[in-house]
Amino acid sequence: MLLQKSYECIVQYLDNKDLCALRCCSKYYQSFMQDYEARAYNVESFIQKFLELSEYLWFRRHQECLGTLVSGSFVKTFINRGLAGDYIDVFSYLMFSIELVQWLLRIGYTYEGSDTLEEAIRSVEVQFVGSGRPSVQERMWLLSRRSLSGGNRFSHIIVIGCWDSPLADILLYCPSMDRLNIMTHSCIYALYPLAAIGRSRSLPIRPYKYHREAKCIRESIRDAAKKGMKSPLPSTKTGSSFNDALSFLSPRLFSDKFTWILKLRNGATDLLDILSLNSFRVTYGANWITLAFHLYMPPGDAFHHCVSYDVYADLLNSSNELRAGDLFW
Amino acid sequence: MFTLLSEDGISFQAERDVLERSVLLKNMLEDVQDSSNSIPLPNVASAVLEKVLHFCEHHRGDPLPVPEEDETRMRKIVIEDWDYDFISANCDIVFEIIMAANYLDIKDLLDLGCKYVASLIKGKSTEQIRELFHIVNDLTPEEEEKIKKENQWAEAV
Repeated sequence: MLLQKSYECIVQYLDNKDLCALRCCSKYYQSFMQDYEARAYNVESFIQKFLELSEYLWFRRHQECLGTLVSGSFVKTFINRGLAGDYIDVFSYLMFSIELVQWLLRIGYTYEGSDTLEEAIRSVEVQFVGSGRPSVQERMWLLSRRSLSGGNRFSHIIVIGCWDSPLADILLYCPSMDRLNIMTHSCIYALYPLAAIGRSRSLPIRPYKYHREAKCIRESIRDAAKKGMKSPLPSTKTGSSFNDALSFLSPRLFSDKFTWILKLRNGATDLLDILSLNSFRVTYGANWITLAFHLYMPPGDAFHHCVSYDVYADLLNSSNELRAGDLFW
Repeated sequence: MFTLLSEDGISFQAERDVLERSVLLKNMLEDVQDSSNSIPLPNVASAVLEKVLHFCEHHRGDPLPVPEEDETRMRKIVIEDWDYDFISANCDIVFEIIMAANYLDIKDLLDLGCKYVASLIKGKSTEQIRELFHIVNDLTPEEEEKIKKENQWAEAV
């Protein structure tokens, strides 16, 4: 048996799937991996380029109470035990975005837009109230601060104001499967973990509005096949399996066996982490997938949840609530 | 020339720049000006010390490795041909070499040994890893089931 330092060196060369295989070997390896992961997945340390510990504690509280989520390359790099980049994508309910940006400005982040941030956020709010649908670019604000890790580098926090729910925007606008990793105050949900760690293909994700009619999609696939191009989509067998993360027949739940839920050992309570209640269903475009879901607000709740249409139907039946939620394919 | 004495009492001679691949020996040599006294290495057997010195001799004068900060870059294991031949020829004592490299603080040899072991683990199932390294499964069925359940995402096709 090697010394702990040697194992630490070995596991640095292994990806997370290999680590899972190693963890199951014996009690020693299980215990070693627990200790290793506690150090390797230290969110306070990983985020310190953007937020000092006291600032992170405020941010984590904001996440917990107001449903703010982090996604994008920051989370993907974290689960891959890499070095944090210079950007962090924060998805916040629009109504709570002002509180968040005011706090960021107070701790030294700066915004270089033509309007003040408050004006910009209010303007987007007015558009939504007037039934407009501002694009993500129109409700995305970049705040920068000299990096806490030193040097002349800057750290950038991108705040994305979300009308329906932060999760809805992530599911709609995440560009690819490998980046579908979401950090709450207490957990990380990697919905396609094998793609996130580079062990399986990562398909592009597009919102449903890019879908064309089935006939057009068939023609597009046929044209591509004639040119010798292979479709990136999984086989029909895979797609129509009931036991696959890319199945279009069964809903994907945030708590299903395909999701890797990494609990952050950051002292946060996970009692209020309700992201695991969300779900969606995969549908296929010509060479991309779409994550389809309904927005559902349970009686007495203030926030929307994303639920696949069969879960949605069950919820409506069980609650006898006939008010239909918004539909997002 | 300096003399090293292995744990089983065998002497090995090597020049200063060879021994200085080891941070431990480099520090010791700074204190020991007189090369007539042998340096005892009570934690390293002669069979292992011979291999370690062979490695250090080959890499004499090479720049010392710079620590890689970004772990993700380490996932693609690249081993130079000579190093691969060296470590794979000694795979039966690779753990002893890693322990000696760790004790003597020879970073590039430690990295090489760990890379090699990692390359053996990569892509293998739990059962295959147990078989490879003769690991006895002392988990109860309940414990094993619990761990597998927590890691079932990794088994998904």
